[in-house]
Amino acid sequence: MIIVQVLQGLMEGVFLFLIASGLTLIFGVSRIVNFAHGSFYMLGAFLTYQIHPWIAAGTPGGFFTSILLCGVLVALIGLAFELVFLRRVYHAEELMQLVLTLAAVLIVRDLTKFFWGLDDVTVVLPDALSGAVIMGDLFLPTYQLAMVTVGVLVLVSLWAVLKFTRAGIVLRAATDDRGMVALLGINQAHVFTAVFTVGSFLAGIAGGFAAAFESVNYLLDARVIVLAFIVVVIGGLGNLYGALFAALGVGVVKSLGLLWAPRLSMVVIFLLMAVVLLFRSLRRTGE
Amino acid sequence: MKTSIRFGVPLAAALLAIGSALGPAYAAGVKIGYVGGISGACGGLTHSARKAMEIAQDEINSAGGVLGGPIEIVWRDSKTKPDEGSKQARDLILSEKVDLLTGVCSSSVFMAINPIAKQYGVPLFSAISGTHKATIDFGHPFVVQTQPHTLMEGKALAEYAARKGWKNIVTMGLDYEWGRTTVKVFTEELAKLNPDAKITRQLWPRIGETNLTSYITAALADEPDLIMAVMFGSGTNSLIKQGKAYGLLQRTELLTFLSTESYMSLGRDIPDGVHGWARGPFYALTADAAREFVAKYQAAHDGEYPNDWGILGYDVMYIIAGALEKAGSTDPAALREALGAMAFDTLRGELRMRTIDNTFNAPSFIGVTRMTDDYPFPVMTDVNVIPGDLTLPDETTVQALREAAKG
Repeated sequence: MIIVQVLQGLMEGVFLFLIASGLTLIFGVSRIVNFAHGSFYMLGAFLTYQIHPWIAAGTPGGFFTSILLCGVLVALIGLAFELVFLRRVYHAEELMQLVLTLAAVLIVRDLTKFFWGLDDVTVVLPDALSGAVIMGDLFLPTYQLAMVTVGVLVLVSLWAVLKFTRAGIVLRAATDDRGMVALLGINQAHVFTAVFTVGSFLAGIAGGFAAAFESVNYLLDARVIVLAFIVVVIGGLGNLYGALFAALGVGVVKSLGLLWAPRLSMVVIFLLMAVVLLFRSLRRTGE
Repeated sequence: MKTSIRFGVPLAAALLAIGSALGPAYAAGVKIGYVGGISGACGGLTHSARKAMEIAQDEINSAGGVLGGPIEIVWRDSKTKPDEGSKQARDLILSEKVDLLTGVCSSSVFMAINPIAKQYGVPLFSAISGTHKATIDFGHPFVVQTQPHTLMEGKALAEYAARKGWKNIVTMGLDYEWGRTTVKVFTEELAKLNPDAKITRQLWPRIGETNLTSYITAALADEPDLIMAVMFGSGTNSLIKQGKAYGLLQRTELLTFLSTESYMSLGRDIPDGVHGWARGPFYALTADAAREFVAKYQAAHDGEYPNDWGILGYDVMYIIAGALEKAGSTDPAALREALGAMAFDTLRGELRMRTIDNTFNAPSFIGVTRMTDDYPFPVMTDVNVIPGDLTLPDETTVQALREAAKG
C-alpha cells in the first residue's frame, strides 16, 4: 500500500515538474516572476479541448499531435507577449513586471470565460490510452505513464540542451551572471525571448495533458500557479534540477500524507516550503 | 493629474445624478437581491440558476407582477467567498434596499450571509445552498431553506446505502462545510440503520484539487464496498475520469453528487453504473410544469438543458412570488405566516414549508447512471425520489441542535 502511494506520488510529481519547469527556467534566466504561467497552462488545456476533435479524433496519434500543436500555439502567444510587453520592463522595477504578468492573468481568464464559458470542459481520452498496466495490486494508468514519459523527455532534453549546446552554455551563464553575458557581446534580449517561448511551450503542453486528465474550467490558472510556485520555491528559484526533486517530493508527501494525516498533507507541503526558505536565508546571512 | 481631477469630478457627479435618477424609479413591486457565486468555485453551477430565475421573473412580471408591481432582481457576485458574500449582502440591504435575499450556492457563503439577514430582518431564501446549520443550529425567523439540506440529504443517502447493504465504506468529502457535514450525518445515520457498516477511511480532498489519483489509490487499498464521495463539479468529474484507469467501478461502487452539469460536461466519460444523487434533475421530474419549463428554457438558450440549480432557482422565484401575494406585503412576519400556510406547486411537485425551522419538504433524487437514447449525455435512471417528509429531522433533534449551538 505504501509502495502504491509512493509510486502514485512520483507520477504526480513528474507532472508537477512538467508544470513547474517552464516557470523556473524563465525565472532563472530573466528574473521575471511569471504569474501568467498558470494562464498559459490553462490556455493549453482549453485549446486542446478546442482543436482535438479536428485532428484524427479518438486516436492517440491525433491526440498527442493536438497537444503538441497547442504547445506551439501557446508558445507563439508567449512569444508575442514577451516581444510586445515583457521586453519593455526587464529594466523596470520588479513591481512593474509583477503587474504586467498579473494583467496577463486577468486578460487570459476573461478571454477564457468569453470563449469557453464557466462550465467545466474535458477531453475524452482515446480508448487506447484509457487503460492501465496492472501488476498485482498495482494499477499504472496508461495515460499517466504517458505523462511521466513526456516529463522525463522534457527533463532529458532540457538537460542535454543546457549541457551540450552553445545556447545552453549561454543560458547557464545568464542564470549565473546576466551582466557578464552581456559584456561578452551576447544579445540578452534574444536569450530572454527564447527562454520565455520555451517556458510557455512547456506550460502549454502540460495544460494539454491536463485537459484529458481532469475537469478543466476557467479557475485552473490559479490552482496551477500556486502549485507551480510551491515547487519552484522549494526547488530553489531558477534551479531546474531543484524543481525536479521538489516536484517529486511534493507528490510523495501529498500521497503518503493521505494515509496518515488526510487533512494535513497540504500543511506539510507548506511547512516544507517554509523550512526551505528559512534554511536558505539563514545560510545566506551566514548565521 | 490636474486634468484628470478637472474632468473626474464633474464626471463622477454626472454619473451619480444618472444613478440616483434611475435608482428609485419604481414605487410598487418587489426588489430581490441575489447574492451568490456567479464566479469562483460555484461559477460552473449557477449560471443556469440565473437564466431560470430570469425566465421566472419575466413570466411573473408579464402576468402582472406581485404586490402591484414588477419583480426586480439585483445580481451580486459573492465570487464564492464568504467575506465577499457578506459584503454584497450588506450592500444589497443598505444601498439597494432590497426586500429579500436569495442565492447562495456555497454553504460557507450561506453561513456568512445568514447573520446579516437576521440582523437586518431581511428574509433570506436559500435556493441553491445545502447546509442545515443556517436554518437549524443558527436558524432565525428570516431564513428559509427550499432545497434538501445536509441533514436531509445525509439521511437519504444513509438509507440508500443501508438498503444496498454496503458494509465497508471509504468516505471522500470535500474539506469544507458541506463535505464535512454530509459525511458526518451520513456516518451517524448509517450507524443507526446498519450497525454492521463501518467507515474504514475518511479522505478530505480540498476544493479545487483535481489530481485525485492518490486519493483513489488510498481509497481502493481498503477494498471497500463503496466509495462515498461528497464532491461536486470539477472534483466529481475528475474523480470519475481518473478512476476509470484504476478500474474504480469494477473494484467498488461509487456514490457521489451528480447534478446535471456534471453529465453535460463529462458526457460519455461517465460510465454506466455510478450511483448519483441530485436535487433537481430535470429529466426525472414528472410535473407538467417541469416539462413546460424545460422546453421554454431550451428555446431561450440554444437547446441547452437546465441543470439542477436552474430547477431550484426557478422554484424559489415562484415560492417567493406566491408567498408575497398571499401575505399581501413584504413584511417578514406576514411572509413567514403565508409560507407556513401554503402548498406550493413547484417543478419538483407540491412542497410545503414547516415553521419550526422554515424548511421545505424538498425531495432528494438518487439513481444509477446510464447512457440512454433520450439525451446526448448519460443521466440517472431508476431514480428514487425520497420525499422530504421522510428525511426532515424531528423537532427534538432540531431543538437539541439549537441548544448545542448556543453552548
